[in-house]
Amino acid sequence: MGSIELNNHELPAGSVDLLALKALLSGPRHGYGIAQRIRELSGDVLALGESSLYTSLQRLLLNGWVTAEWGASENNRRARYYTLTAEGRKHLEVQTEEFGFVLSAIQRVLGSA
Amino acid sequence: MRLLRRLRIWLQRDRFESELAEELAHHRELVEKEQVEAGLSPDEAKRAAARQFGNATTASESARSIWVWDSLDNILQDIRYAWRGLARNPSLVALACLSLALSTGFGTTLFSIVNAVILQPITASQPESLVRFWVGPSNRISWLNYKDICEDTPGVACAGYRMEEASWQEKDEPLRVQVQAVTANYFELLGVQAAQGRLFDARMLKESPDTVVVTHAFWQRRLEGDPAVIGRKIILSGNPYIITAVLPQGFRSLFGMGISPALYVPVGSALRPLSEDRSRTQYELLGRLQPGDENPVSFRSRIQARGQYLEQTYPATNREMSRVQTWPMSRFGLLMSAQGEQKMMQGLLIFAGMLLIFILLLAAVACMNVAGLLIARALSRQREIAIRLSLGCSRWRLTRLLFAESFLLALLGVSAGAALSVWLARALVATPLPFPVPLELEIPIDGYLLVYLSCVTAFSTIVAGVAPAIQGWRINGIGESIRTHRPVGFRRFPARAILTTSQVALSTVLLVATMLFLRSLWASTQVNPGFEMDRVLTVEMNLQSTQVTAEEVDQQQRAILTRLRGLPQVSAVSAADIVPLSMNSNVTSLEVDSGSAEQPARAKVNNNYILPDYFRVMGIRRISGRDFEEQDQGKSEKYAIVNEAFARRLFPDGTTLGKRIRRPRPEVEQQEAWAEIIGVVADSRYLTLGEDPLPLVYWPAGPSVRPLTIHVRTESDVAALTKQVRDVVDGGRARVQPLRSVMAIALFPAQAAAVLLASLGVIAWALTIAGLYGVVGYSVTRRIPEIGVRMALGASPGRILALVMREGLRIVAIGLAIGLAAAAAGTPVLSMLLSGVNPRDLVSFSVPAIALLLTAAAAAYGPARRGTRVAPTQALRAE
Repeated sequence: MGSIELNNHELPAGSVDLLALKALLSGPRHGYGIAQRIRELSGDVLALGESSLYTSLQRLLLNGWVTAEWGASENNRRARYYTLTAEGRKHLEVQTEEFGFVLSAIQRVLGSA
Repeated sequence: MRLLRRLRIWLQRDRFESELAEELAHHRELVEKEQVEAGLSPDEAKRAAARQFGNATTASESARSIWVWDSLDNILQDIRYAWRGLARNPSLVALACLSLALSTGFGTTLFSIVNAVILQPITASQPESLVRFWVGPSNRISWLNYKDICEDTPGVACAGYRMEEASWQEKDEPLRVQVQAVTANYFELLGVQAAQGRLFDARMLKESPDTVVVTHAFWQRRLEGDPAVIGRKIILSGNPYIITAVLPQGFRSLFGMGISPALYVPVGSALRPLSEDRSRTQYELLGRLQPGDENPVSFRSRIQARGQYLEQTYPATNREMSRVQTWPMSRFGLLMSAQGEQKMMQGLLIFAGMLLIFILLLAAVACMNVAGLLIARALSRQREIAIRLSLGCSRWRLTRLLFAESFLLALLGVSAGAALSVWLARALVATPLPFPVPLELEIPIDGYLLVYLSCVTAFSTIVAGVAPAIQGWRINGIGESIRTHRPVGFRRFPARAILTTSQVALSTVLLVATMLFLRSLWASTQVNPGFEMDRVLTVEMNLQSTQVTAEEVDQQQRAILTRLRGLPQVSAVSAADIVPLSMNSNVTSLEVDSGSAEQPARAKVNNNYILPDYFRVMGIRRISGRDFEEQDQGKSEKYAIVNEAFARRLFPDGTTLGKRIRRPRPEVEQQEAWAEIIGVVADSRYLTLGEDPLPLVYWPAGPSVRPLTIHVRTESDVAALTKQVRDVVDGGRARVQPLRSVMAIALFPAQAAAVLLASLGVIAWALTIAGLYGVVGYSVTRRIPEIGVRMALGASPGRILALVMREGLRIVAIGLAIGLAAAAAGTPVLSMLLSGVNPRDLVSFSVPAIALLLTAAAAAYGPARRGTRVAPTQALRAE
């Protein structure tokens, strides 16, 4: 199985948001860094499309789950770094639990004979 | 919070765009780098990154869409786009704005007047706890009784007031001003604050009694807005007064209906010295219920107790003082709460409602012109619209775009109209009223007006936008409209023609109603008031002065009467307390002797106090009995003369002469003083021309009823006599004018209404004709190819003319038919406001119809002529 291009409407609603928040749990990252981190954590399976990534980031900003700040990137360019807020952390926890609940339900359905 | 974040991004949207672009570019660079590290050549890496990255525009758009309200952005875009489109069509904008500005300007001015006259409550804190009340049989009480009731009754707060006239020397011409004399606590009772200076109260009056409070209007108009107005001295009827305060702008007097005295002076100042005569009833009363008085009952009982005490203490002058009547003060003023005027109020409300409907109709007529222009525009760009549709523009979005245009036009037109109406209102307020009493009308610019203007804008947007929008919906396929130059969806009776038809119908309704009112006004000036108007001069003496006693005034007036009788052109001279139809009245209750021991019957009647010969001067017919004679005057009065209405109402059996009635005036010495009815005279109008004759009692004017207004009868020219009479009575101290001009005040409301309505009608008519001209002209342009072919086939210019004219006239004919039918259905509602004219009056219906038809024919003729001059070759080229 190769990598999967992720698009908003192919995943349960809000799952890209959750992935992005999870990626930020280990510290501030820029957009590319978030995509990298998700690919890494998913074992090179989930490749986030830029369109869905940046759309999701705007949504996180709008809801106050992350803040953004310009800083220098590893190749000495200006890059926007996103930081998880306390609210975002809480949202991640609540949603992760819910997501797991939904996912296990889906698996139960699919796994049933 | 979300909203604030949204707003911040929206305000910095340029920065947001560039930052997002930078971020995306950076991301793409890193992807490229990653590819190179994975072993691809830089070129291949770029291609791979681009492939992986996808559409950068889509990415940034979808990112942006999180932040903006999609609809808001689109609406702004629509408005910007509509603005650009309109800016390329300055003539359309000018025409549309002119239509809307005219209708809104006049409509708004009318609304402002209605607003000023009817919708404005009086200025007072908690007007609902104010009451008018009578103590005893008359609406007025004397100064001493006032003091005893209002100043010395525990738990009662009340104030007194009366109207005065004063002359005020402004440059050379002396000006009559309406002055309200009020007790020291008046403003405090109302709870009114001054805009400048200090309103007088008891403490201030102790130091300087001759102070005056001026209204904002008087300060602005008569004193030219003098910045040093406080402390300025003005002379009122020869007495110096100091201005201590200016009332706030928009102050509404107790009278309501936009009417206000110009000045307020304290009772007891030079203009109205205090009378120590307990029988001189002078002041009307205004009370305020105390907190805790849920209803006027406890208020009334406190005053009743006081009145009873006063009646017992001063039996000679105080009768029936324990009888206290209260009325709630109408929020809209005394004129609305006066007894028996419920009907008048109703009539006013109907009139106001009707005016508003008329204003709306006029606005609709104007909007239809705008709609016509917009439809023409939409048709000329229907190819563009078709292309938009085929490119995926939703119909909803298209409709919004078309409405954006009508909204912009409405906004522009209504704003221009509002400016026009402010100007008109200013001009109107500055115009002197056609009667000598300078009542001040205030036309406010207030919240009501703003609400009204927004409603007009919304109304105009919708009415002007709906037809073009429907037209837009009709455009279907791109193919059809690209293949042909001919407008698509053009029916035999196109939208513009339908609009014009409705315009004609609406203005027919307006014109018919206007005609009805003009006819009614005409009829009302022809109403016989029951007395001679054109052969009588009135002389009002200004004899109020501190030193003169009633007896001295009486002496002076007698001397003047004798001198006037000596003039050769004068055929009779008399005098009366009240000039009919001058808005003055004296209403009292009256007892009728039933001839037995039972309670006497009571009635409310109008009164007038007259000298002998009054009926001869006024030309009022005597039905039976005799006139007063000189010897009736001096003695204690025991005779009365009544009019026919009185006789009919109280003595339906027909025997009136010799019956006894008790006079309401308290100064009669004996309680048992019954007056005998010695004559019956014909009815005459007392308060208004339109009224049914009211019961009226004439009393001989004893010396205490002074000064009287002298009435002079001549059989020759009144104008020529005026100067001679002035010489006799010493013009500086008296006002001499024909009776008819005194009555101008009674005719004024009808006249004002007629002028307002007529201007509405004329504007609607002009807009309709302009609309019709546009439609016929457009139809000629559209039919040039057809006309050319007809001409080429040998049709004569006359045939072409008839063809085009027929189309225009058909519109008018259908519109007229609808309008006349609607008017016939609607006008009976107006019958309450019409006097002397049938609501289905033939003239009122036919004159507007003919006028519309003729002007419409003229309007259609111009473009039709143009049609006949179309050269066949030109027509074919156009194809």
